[in-house]
Amino acid sequence: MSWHEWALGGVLVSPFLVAALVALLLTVGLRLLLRLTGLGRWIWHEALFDLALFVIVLGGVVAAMGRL
Amino acid sequence: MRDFVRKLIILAAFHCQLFIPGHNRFQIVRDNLLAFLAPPLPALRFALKTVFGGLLALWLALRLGLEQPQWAFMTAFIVAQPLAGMVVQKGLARVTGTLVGALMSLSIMGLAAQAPWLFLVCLALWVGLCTAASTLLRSAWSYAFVLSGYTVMLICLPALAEPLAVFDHAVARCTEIILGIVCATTVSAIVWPQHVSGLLLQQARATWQGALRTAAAELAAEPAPREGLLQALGQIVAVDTQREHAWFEGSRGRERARAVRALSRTLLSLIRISRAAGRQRRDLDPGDAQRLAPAFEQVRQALQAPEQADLPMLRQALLERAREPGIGAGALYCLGRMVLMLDYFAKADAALEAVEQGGETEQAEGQFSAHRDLPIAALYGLRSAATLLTLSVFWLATAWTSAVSALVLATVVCCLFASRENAVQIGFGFLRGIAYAIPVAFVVGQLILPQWSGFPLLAMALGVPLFVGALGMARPALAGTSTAFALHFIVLTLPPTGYEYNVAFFINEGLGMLIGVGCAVMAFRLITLRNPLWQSRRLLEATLRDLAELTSRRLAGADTWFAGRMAERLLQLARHYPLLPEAVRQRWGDGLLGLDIGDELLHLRLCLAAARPADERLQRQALDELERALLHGPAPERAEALQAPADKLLRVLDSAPESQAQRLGRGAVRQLERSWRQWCGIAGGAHELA
Repeated sequence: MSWHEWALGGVLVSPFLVAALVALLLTVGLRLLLRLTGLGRWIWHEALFDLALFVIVLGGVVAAMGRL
Repeated sequence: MRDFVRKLIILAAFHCQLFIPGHNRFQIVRDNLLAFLAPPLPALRFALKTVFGGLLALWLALRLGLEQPQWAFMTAFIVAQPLAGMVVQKGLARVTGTLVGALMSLSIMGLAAQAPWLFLVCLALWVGLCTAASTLLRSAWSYAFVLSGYTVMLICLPALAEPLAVFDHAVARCTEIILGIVCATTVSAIVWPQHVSGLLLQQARATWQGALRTAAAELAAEPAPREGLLQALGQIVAVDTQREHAWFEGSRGRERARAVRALSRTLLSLIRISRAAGRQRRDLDPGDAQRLAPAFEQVRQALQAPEQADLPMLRQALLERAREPGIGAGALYCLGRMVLMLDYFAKADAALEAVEQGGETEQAEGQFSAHRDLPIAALYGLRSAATLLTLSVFWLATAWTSAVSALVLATVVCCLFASRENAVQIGFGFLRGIAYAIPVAFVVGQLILPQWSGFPLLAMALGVPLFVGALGMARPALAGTSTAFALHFIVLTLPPTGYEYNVAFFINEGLGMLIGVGCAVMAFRLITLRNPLWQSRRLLEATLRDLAELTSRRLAGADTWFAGRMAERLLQLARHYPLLPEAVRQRWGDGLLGLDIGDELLHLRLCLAAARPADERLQRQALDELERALLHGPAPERAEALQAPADKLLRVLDSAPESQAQRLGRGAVRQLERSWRQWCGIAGGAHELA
């Protein structure tokens, strides 16, 4: 996948939007996993943790999509 | 593995809010569906009125050739409320806010048109200030502040590229808002008018009954449960808020508003005094307790069956009992409080009659003062400003046109729901409304409207979905989501002038909205009052400051001043109550004891004023000492802190001529000391556990 806009019915969609959606799904999955394994109890500020996790995952996704 | 899957399902269901412990989900769904499929008659009328008012505004705006007709249309939906007085009040608040905001946007634009960053910082400061002010003013009028905050954004942001157009934008915005309000108000007043007064009558009677019942429970030999008191306080505060709306329903409504104010103050005092009498009853020595038991029972019966009570006779009986020889100071104190209770009872009766029949009531003295907390308001203001700045960075960095709508929406949500306890849930409700609006708006705006032309067909295409939305607005549980649906449906189907209407606009706007509300919800979650302990400690400190002030405040009106503030604080403490760990729930007890001590302090000062002691210098000195002791707050090692000032006060009372007031004063001093010791004991317990 190259780092170009996607054409959706004549509308150009930014690849960053796709990356953000993928990252959101991944973050939700990771978060569920953390909670189920009991590691979630150690989080101090849940909202802050979620945001930070999302930014990290988004960075990873963008980097990965650039390589592809 | 099976356990894991089960856990996963429960977790997922919980997140989607399908599973709410203690609630029957199917019942909720059924009730919500019934609101749309078989709406009650008032909801049907409300929806018809709202849609009619909105379409009238839209037609007039199109007819007059106004710049942004959709603003007038939206305003009619925003101010739509079930009751006529509420519409007028909200409309007035909206007009005031819009006018102030328009003036402010002209000055900010004039100052910083050339420097976008400076402009955005100014904007953030103004929005933060308005949010803080609106949370400080906890009444229906706070909406004016919210509006003056975000009107500046609505006017200035689209005009940032062409600063000279800002004046036209400001004029257009004001014109259309006023048009929308005039249409909505006229329709709500003319078509099936429903007045606040009717609701107010019901609420006032329920409050009166609830307060009397609570007062009766407080008089019982055993301490009363917390819930009754809480409910009564909640009712009093709620009826007092409705008062603001009744003000706009003619001279009759204004009379009623005054009567409700008198009623809520009287009921607060009644509850306060009944607590004092009940407390003293539990401390009486057994002989006195037995002697007074019938009197307590008579008063309780009168409170429980207020219709049959013969107040003057009961009052006379209590006074005679007080004149019996050999009656102790504590028993005398109880009887005194009960006589005072009966007086307030009679006053409350008169006030309720004035609410029901109309007519003048005597002017109650003193403001119904509210508890204000500047640092917390500043925090809320900061949150709005921070959200605005973050999204501005996003906007300027991406140069995406629809980022403006994300920016506007995020700030509006942050301002509107700043001080709500359940801001995150409200934000999600808003998001749900947008999610419903997007597909409906796509069908109407992209598929139907291009085929149809002319106002009647436009009205039909817009009116049907909005009618359904308005049905939801009439049901309190759905109101937030439905309002969001209606507003965003309008935004997505009627684009602002100057935009080409196509699929790209639609997708961009929809995305911008989702991002905006998402950011607002995130701001609510990130910057929050995470520590209920901190907040309840702040409430305690404020209570102590008030208690200290009570030692020197002018007596006239002091009791309503204190009772109003304490009622609000107790309600706030109660809201935090479920969040607190078991061990620290004493905070609620702190609040109640603060209320009791304030009451005893007031009573003592009344006695001092009536007894006319000879040594005024000593009295001033004792009260000053008392003030210092109270300011330091309760702690286990400070249990005897009131000893010295109390001794002095007793000496002051000794210097007065022999009288009933002097004897009552002695009882009050002892009661004050006792409550203080109790408070210190509780504070000790809480500290150890914490």
